[in-house]
Amino acid sequence: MKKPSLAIAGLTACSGCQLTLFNCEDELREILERFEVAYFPMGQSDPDPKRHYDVALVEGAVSTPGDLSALFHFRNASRLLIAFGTCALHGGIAAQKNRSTPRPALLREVYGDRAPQLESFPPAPFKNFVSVDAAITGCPPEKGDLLRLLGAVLAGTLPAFPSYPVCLECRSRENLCLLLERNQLCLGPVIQGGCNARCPATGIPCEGCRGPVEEANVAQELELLLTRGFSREEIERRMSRFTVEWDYGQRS
Amino acid sequence: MIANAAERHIPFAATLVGRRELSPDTALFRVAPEPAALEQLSGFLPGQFVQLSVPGGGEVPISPADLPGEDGTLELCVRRVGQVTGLLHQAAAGQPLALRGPFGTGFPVREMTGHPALLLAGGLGIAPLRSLLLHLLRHRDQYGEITLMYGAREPGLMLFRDELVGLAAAHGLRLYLTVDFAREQAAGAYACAIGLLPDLLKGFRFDAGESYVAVCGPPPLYRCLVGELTGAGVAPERVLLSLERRMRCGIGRCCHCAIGTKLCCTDGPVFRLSEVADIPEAL
Amino acid sequence: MEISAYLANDNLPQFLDTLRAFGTLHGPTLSESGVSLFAPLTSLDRLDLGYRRTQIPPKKYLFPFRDTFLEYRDGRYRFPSGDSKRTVLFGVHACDLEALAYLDQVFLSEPEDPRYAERRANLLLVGISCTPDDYCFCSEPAGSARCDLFLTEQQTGYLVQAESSAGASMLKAAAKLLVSAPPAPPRTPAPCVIPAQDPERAYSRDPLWDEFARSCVGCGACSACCPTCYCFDVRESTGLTGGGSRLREWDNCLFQSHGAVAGGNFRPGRVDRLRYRFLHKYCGFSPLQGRSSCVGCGRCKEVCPVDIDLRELIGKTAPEPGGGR
Repeated sequence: MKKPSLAIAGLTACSGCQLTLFNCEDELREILERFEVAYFPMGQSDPDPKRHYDVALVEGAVSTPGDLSALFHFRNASRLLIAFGTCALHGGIAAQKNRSTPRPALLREVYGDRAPQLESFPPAPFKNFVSVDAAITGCPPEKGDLLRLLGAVLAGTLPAFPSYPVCLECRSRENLCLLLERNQLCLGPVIQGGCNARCPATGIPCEGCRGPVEEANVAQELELLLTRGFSREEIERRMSRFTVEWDYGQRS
Repeated sequence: MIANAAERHIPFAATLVGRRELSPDTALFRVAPEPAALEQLSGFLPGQFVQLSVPGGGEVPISPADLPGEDGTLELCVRRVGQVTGLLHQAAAGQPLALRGPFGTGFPVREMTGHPALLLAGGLGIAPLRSLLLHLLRHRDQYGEITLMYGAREPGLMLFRDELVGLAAAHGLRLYLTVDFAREQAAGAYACAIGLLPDLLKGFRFDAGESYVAVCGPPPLYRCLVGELTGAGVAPERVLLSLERRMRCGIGRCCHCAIGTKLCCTDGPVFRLSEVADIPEAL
Repeated sequence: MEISAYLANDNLPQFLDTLRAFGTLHGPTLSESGVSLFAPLTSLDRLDLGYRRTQIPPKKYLFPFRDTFLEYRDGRYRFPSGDSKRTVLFGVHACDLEALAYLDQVFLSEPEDPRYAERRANLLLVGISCTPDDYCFCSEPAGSARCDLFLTEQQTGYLVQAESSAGASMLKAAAKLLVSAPPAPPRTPAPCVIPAQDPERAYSRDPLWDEFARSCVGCGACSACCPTCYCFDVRESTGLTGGGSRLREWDNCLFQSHGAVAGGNFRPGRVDRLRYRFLHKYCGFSPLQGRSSCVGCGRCKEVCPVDIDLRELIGKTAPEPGGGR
């Protein structure tokens, strides 16, 4: 049987999601035996875009006309387009100021006089432009989720990822609840789990890198944090770090 | 016979031996279990279900469309709706599968002996009712009048149509087919009524005092039909509802399929209306 | 064979070391970050005898959060090879023992769950009396017969009572450390302080339902930490080399996915899920209908970030005297 072909690429992003593939050291050989890596600029000397991929794992937010045409290319060329990581899924880090600061001001701040020549628009997730077949969340994604996705693709299906919040895994690991016991600004209740509560397990509150959980009670989390003495500004700043498009009135 | 506990938890190996497309998203799959499973499957009642595994995808509850054949082969009528059924729909003969069962309650076919039976099926709900229907027709002389009313959304989505028409001709089955929507000529070509099942039932005269009525269909159908049936005088104990919930384990443990304080997998999936009428969320 | 004896405080360390002959010794400890949890008593310094409640109840020994239930290889599903080791769990409070007895009823009833049964057969339970705090609401903290051995604290030691033959063997092994004592009066299982509720109450129009539905953040802590919650989800995944595994993982009735089916949801709103929770906790499902599974450990109340306490739904509309079930 022909090996499924794989594209791994990025739009506006830090390449950390693509790096997840390299972090699968123990499984890399298996992956290369079972997939044809057709396009992977980060890992190839002469990457050459193809007309067809079975699976495209694309990271990053869409923030330039170039990003957009690349996204359309991957959508059109791929049987399965996977939004790879939080930026692709929710806009991520690059989009955190979308609501608070106009784009030109941000560009001026970073690029100074060169700003007016840049073609850039507020970073947005893939779903604003194309449909995706599956997503792996996380900043960066969990290695296990990537392997589960590749395994599922080989089996002819897509993986079933859990849809519970960080708190479930956090409690089950018998971590200290940083929100209740240490009064820290922890986003665990409204953030998609699957990370095995990595951060709270080491005493760092959940910063929300995996994006909103299904049916997040955002309004209640906000209320909870406000009553615990955090300012609305501080809460919104923290929540926007990885996902800017929260509906702060949403309860279900 | 109570099967050994491990067999209720570990699926038997099985193989897909054939498939027949019934509509664009629904097919009838013939599944042959390994010989070791035959003893368990021999006690199958119409309305019971199996947990079908498609390796790599997972497990789904399916109520077979007929009792197992003598060689243990099962006919499973499956619509492509999720990942497991999607994987099954990609499968060709020879594909390894696995199954556990039978689970749950079936239709009380022994108690129904001597009585007329009215079967009301909506959409994919025909699958478990076909199993009941074929059983009743195989023991035709033990039952009174047998009627099937079957509603589908449109003519192209009507499953087993030719087969049902054949059964009506050969076994004296009273068959009423209806579709929700159809272009006029299309409806004519299919020789069926246009309208909803509850409307069809409204004008139907039957021996409500003696009949057993079996219902299976999409959730809103039950609410509409139940009122009609009790209004016509069918005893709630004789209204048999085959309900669908999300069964994950099939044996009363995972608790996803609760209906009130009952579990669909072990107390059902066939319930008498009298058992669930007081549960607000049941229908 | 003695079935009860007196253990002086000074002999407790040696007594615990004696128990190690019966399996790996686990007991209540305090983690570095200050969480109370059952863990291996590698050193007796770790033992936290005065604990109130562990974050995760002993169910984790029988029914771990994430468990490979079946493996798929060579065209067949099978149980993974058993990994269960003989364990002595020391210092379990009466409420948690009652909860384990409930889980036994769930998982050891026909058809017995083979994975649970294997672990259960390897788990010896040593109970201990406790002092309730503000979160507790059990009816009888003093003792329990749902174990192999039970220690009741007395002024300078413990009254030790064997409740099974394994418990009697433990007493025998530790005979040198014990002095004879009159047996404790026979114990009846501690009734739950919340009697089984009429399912109709789960559908009441009490505005509290909406209030809870509005404030529940859906974090799942209540059921993760509940000693009798056992809903589980099942997920299958395939490895790169073709074999696969089917996982069981703790689920929570308040998650949207709990009542979902392809194309719909039978419990679409949070209020529907809270009602489900009430039904499961206080009314019981199917063979356990008419049985409350709340043991009064107080965990759900302690861990809920928004102070939801389903018991308020019972308290507010108390049944008429004598009318309760």
